Amino acid sequence: MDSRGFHVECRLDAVDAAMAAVCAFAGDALAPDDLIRLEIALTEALTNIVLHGGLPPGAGIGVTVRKVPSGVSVEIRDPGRPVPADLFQAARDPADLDPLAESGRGIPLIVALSDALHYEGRDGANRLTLRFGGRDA
Amino acid sequence: MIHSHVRPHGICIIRPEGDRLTALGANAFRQEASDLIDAGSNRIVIDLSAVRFVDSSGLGAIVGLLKKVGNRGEVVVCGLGDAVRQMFRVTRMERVFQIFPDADAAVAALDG
Repeated sequence: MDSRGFHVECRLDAVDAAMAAVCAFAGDALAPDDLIRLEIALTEALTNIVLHGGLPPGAGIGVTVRKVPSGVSVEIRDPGRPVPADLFQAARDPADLDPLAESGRGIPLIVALSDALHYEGRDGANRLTLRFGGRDA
Repeated sequence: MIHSHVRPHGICIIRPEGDRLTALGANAFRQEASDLIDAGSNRIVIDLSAVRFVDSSGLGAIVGLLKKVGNRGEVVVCGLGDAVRQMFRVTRMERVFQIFPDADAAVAALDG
């Protein structure tokens, strides 16, 4: 199983740079539409951590991308504040949000565009795992 | 952060700089485009043909411009690539914005 780790500094420009590297690595394991879903969901997840994660000074974000038989699994680790227990379960469909809202779409997009999502926060670390691929067209 | 060009009849074409409109540059894009609206532009084409990717912050900035113009004018978008179109589709922005294939088509529609 092919995998690669990425270290993302807690800055918005580092998110954009990391996404280019992640997509280059994952591109041959996903259909084009699945890769777009990964790019949107992972960008939203990393941006949320940078803007709202409350990471300690100097701390970064770890991303591990694994090519699995049905697509790609992405694990995101950060040492910031734990998220509310129901944050992802309570997310609304992005299509149901106020279309004129200027914010608040990040978590709904992560949930809607990933094929599986698991979050675990313990021992001072957050671990979000997203899977992409295998969705019927 | 943006390139702007005013066509005849006051239609302003705005092109974000760079191939990603994300949280990194969304505020600057919004501010610069907002300054154009304050200066009198209220028929606006946002040309995304050079933008490969838009995140929710970029989308929020575009929505903010639509709200700022309100019923004083129009804001339309054009040149959506695959990733941007998927973002518009999943957030139902296709119901909010008129979308055109390119700037010429958008200008023709606004001018029609």
